Amino acid sequence: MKTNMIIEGKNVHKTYDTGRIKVQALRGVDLSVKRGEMVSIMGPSGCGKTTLLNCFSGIDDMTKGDVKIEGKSLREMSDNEKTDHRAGRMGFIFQAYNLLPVLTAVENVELPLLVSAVNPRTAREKAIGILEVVGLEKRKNQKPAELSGGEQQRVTIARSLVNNPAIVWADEPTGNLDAETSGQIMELLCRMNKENKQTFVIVSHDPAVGEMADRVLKMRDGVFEKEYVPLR
Amino acid sequence: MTMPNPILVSLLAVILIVIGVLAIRRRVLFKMGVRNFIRHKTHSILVVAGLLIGTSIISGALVTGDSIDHFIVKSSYDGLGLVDVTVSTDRMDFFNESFFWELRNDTGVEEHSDGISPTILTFVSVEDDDSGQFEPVMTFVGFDPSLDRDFGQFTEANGNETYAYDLGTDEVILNGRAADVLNAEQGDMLRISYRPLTLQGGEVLQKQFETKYVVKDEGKGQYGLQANIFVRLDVAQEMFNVSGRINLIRISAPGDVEAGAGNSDELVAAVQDALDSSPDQGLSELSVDAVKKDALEQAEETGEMFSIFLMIFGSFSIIAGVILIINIFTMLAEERKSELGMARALGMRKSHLMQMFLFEGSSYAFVAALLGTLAGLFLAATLIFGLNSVFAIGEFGGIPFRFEIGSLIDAFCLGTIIAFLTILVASARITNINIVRAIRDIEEPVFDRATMKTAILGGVTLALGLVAFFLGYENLVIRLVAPCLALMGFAFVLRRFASASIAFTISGIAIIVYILHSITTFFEGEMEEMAYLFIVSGVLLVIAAVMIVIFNSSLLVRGVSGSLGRIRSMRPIVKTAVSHPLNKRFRTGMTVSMFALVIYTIVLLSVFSNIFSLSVSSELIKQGGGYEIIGTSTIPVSDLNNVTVIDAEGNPVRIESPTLANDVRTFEQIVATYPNVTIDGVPLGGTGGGPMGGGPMGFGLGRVLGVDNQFIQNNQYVFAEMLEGYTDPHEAWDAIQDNHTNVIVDLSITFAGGSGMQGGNGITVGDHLTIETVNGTKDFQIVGILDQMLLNGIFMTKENAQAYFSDSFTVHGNSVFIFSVKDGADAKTVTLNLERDFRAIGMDTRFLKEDIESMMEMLNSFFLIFEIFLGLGLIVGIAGLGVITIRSVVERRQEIGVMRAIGFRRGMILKSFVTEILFIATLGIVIGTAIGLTVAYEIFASMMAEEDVSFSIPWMHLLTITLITYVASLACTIVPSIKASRTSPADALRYMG
Repeated sequence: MKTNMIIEGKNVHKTYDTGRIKVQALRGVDLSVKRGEMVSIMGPSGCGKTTLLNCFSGIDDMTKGDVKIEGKSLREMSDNEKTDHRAGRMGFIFQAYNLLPVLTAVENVELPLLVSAVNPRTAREKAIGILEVVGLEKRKNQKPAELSGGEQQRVTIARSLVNNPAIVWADEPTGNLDAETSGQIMELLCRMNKENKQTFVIVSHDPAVGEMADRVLKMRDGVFEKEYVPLR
Repeated sequence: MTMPNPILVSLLAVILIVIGVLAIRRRVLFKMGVRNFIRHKTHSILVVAGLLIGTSIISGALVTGDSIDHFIVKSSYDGLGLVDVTVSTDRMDFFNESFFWELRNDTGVEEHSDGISPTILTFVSVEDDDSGQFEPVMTFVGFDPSLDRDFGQFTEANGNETYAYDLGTDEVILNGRAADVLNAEQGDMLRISYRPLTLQGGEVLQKQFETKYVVKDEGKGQYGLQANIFVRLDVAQEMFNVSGRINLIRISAPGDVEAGAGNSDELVAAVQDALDSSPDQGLSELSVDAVKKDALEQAEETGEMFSIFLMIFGSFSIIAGVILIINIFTMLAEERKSELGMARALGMRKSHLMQMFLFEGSSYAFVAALLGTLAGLFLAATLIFGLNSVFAIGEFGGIPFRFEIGSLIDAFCLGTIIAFLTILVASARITNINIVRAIRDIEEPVFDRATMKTAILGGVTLALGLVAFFLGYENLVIRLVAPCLALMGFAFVLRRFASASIAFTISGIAIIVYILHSITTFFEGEMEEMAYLFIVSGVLLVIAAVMIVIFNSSLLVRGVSGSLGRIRSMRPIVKTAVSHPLNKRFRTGMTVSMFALVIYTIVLLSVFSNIFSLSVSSELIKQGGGYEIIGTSTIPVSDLNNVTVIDAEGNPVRIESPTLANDVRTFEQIVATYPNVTIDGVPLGGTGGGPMGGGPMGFGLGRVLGVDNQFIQNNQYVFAEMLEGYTDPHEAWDAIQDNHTNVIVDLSITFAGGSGMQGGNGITVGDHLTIETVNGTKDFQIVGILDQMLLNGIFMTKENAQAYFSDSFTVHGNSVFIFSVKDGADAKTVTLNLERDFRAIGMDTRFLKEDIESMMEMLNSFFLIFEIFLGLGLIVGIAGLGVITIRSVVERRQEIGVMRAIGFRRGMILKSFVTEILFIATLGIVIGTAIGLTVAYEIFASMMAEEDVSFSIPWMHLLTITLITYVASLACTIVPSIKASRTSPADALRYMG
């Protein structure tokens, strides 16, 4: 039966074992996200938001349960298949921007395309195009250290969108930014969501971010505590 | 025992005291520094491994010097035994035995000696009738057992000791070496072939002896470290028809084997006084030599020279080690940037941070110097093993592994001092931080234009360089370095107005051009000065080349991405792999320099060893002059076709040689004699030296060869040079026939006692040689130089040679023979057969081709040993890469996480790291190889182009070195690279540095 759900996670557990102590970061999380939906995961520090994002996106292994991305089970995928899937179908935005400091803005943005073996000229054109969208075409040859926090985050967003991913995972995308820049970044993400019909899963503890999402899921101690649709 | 160098020990003591005082005053900083050393074990191991190389090279060089010193010293002690002083002529001519008695009765000599013995020392050919073995050249020692008592006893194989008072007139003593070559045992009957002075022409006498004793190669039994046959002095005198005459007096100074040398000066003076006051007129040519003392001094000089030679070659590795220290400390500072910033914010001064690094660095330095000193022992043992194998000196017992504690202390001190000073400079550089940028771990800004302060500093450097150039022009090292310093200063001034890329590229190119120009214009002089120029020019060239490459990294990135990036799957890998190292210019530049420096020396040595090997090979082939075999006889004969041996029973037996008759196409017979030759008052070559002294049977550098008309007509030797106006070789040969004062020399004469890069002594056509003849000294003009050195001599006609040197018994016949073998005959077999056929005259034959091959093999092995020694420096470079990789994995953990998140597979991360390592290694290899080849060509073009050799690059050899470097680099860095690739993206993203 064909489903409209792009992300379907069931009973997802994640336990960190340091050898001496075990920490249950996720305690049987169920999460389904529709194609084109913008979902915000909120909660206090240490509630398991980032762990959820890591496990659901496939960059970390879950201890128990399963997640299906576009109908494909992460459990059944090899590391390389998960990596290739991320390269082709996903984009990531991190709180600390995590741009490669040795590459310029445009080189950072085109990197996922090069990984997906896109022709270098096409990759460069696409990267410049997406930098135009985020308003940074004039700063394309600057290295991350030469950009402001907001600009770096916009480069990260450009990088996450350049391969036209089905899902964009954003971990505290405004965590390091002031209120005004945060607003601009969120508007940008919403615009991308609306225009490209891409699915956004945004992890944040900022209520302002939640307000812009289609649905908000509140976490506490590794489980969803509450789900609601924000009022606009 | 060698005492340690007091300056080095004092310097180390000062360092230790300073560190000690600082540690007591700043205990917290001391703890912090030392704990950092203990905290990162793998890191510390790599750092120590990199640092110890420098010390191990110093220690290895010193210990090798010690061993060689000891070897020569031991050889002198063994070869001379209790003999400290000798009296003889340079050519071992005979003189009246009465002088021995004069000396023995001289009170001055008696006071300063504890033994004196008359001797006849010459060479004979010996055949063992029982074993059938023969030896064409054996040392024949005539001694008086009673008078020789003070020189100790012989030791028989069973351990019994004997003075051999009971040695009969038809009995001999063989030492171990002689018994080995003859396969002789006690009781064997030996036939000795010899020629008394009174006998000339084609007759050789034979005498039969019984082997009374076979004695061990110890004490006086191993005199001269030769295969010796001892007979009674009166028997020797009778055999050689020199009744009442001897040719050597051996004297022992008071004290044992080792102490005697120290007491030989007084003895020499006393003997010289006795000689001067002797009424005997026939003693004018006698010389008194403190043979053991001279040999010991030579031993010390040789050992020291070898140490310096190794250190000079190893200095590139030592410099690479210094760069590694700077690199490591720069990385340590980067790693702890936030920590250092916080410390500064909390109130620690720069000097405090510096002290902290000094404490940590000193821990590395001490441990590394200690281990390096010990590693040097292993290195020296390996080198000595290699040298023993190459030079097959096992028959002399081989070079023993020997070290002096003083040398080890010196190596430890020097290693620690070098590391400490480097750490001091590195610490001063890295503690100069901006607190805010350090706390926030923000990269240091790179300004495209130099600040005014930097520009002024550049201007001062420029001025200093120019002043030094003009003031120190006479000093070649200053003439080389000062303009480069000025050009570096100029680059900083230029940076004020132009980009770093333009400034450093211009400066770098100018430095390279200047140095290459210098090599062709003023690289000349003594070997030691040349060695310093070689080191300094190498370092400067590498710095300049690395500067050009690093400051034009964008072009490089584009080039590499454009080429390797054509492979679709490699594009993202290449992009990240190349960008990282070029973003860290200082670190990468340093690592590349380490590789480039070492590769540069290896390439230079490989190219020259290759050119040298090829030239030696082609030279030696050419030197045959159309002949395949060369033979020398201990007994000269007037005609090889007509040699008669008067056997032990007195029957004349003509030597029949079917080989000479059937297998030899043609052969030449040459007269050889060994007069004293000087040029401008300086003796040509040496006098032979060593326990045996120079002598008629040796291959002295000043030997005169008397050639006949047949040789002049037949030989195909070519001339390297002829007197101006001569166009044909015949004109030169005619010149020596027409004018008695004309001579032709071969290349061996032009190389005798030479020094400098070209090895020549400057002798050329038109020069005059002064030769001691029977009628006093005479000047001879060189009219041609033969392009060969195997015959090794000064050529004149036989008639002239005999006229000038007729008192020398060697002139009464031919003792050098060159043979041309008939087609179809096996030259090697002919060589052996000729030696056997003419064993009675002590014919020693050599098959030139085989000689060349074994010489080539020896040369190649010798060069290989040094290449391996130089290759040690590569370990420094590779350790440097290892440190960088480990650091990079930690430093880029978050980046790795992001890369994995956006689609880099594990394999791609691994490939990215491997590509980066190979990229750095390749830069070093390419720069080192390019500079090495360029410098090699420049040296070749300016100094060797006129010689008959072509510039040749050993590509396969260089490829092998490159492959070894790559494999070793990968082996050292693959583990951290794999670790990086296996990093979980989630873990990596969580890592906060």
